[in-house]
Amino acid sequence: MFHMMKNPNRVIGEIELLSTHFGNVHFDPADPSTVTVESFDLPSGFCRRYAELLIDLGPLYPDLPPQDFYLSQGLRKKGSKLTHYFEDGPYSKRYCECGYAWYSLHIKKWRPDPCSMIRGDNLLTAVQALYEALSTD
Amino acid sequence: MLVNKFRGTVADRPIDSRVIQNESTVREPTTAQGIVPYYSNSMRHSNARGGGLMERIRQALDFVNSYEPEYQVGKVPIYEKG
Repeated sequence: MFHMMKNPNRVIGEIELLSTHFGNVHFDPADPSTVTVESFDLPSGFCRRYAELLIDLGPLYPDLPPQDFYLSQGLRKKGSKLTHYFEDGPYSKRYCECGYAWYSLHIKKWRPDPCSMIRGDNLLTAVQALYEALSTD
Repeated sequence: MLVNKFRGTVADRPIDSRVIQNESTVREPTTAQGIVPYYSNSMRHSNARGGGLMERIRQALDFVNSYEPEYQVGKVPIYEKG
């Protein structure tokens, strides 16, 4: 079951913006509320250079920030598990059953511009927050 | 004037052989495949051979600037880790 997004065209535009930087990005055009970046560059210190990144935008994106971030399972940083990275999905996050680990990141201040996808927060700034969080984890 | 923070983040990454591609190519919807069975389409850009990391960054920023030249790249929304 999924909820229809209020503004799917805006979301697809942001996915385009994301793909200019990260390459292949997968989504369902009928319901673009889930976005998968095939090769998300990880910060230095990780056991791999790239991971698959899945973003659950939720039905109210972009009015609200992305709901959840998921990464490939098995990631380690400098040989240790990350603090905010949950492979077992203790909170029953839906994509943990599909081979992903949930990364607990909550965007507290979200300022999208309803008239322009790049004059305010968008998928690029959200992913940049994730990258910064992973860098400091 | 562009703020360089996002570009700096990208530049921290090692140069690799993947490049941002030039033309937008959208496939016709196909049967959902892959790990998560929700997707039937992907968005990507066709290959731009020979570009390095900085060329990729320039192309990405040119793309952004083609929409809004005054936009300042580099804002990060306030977040907290759970």
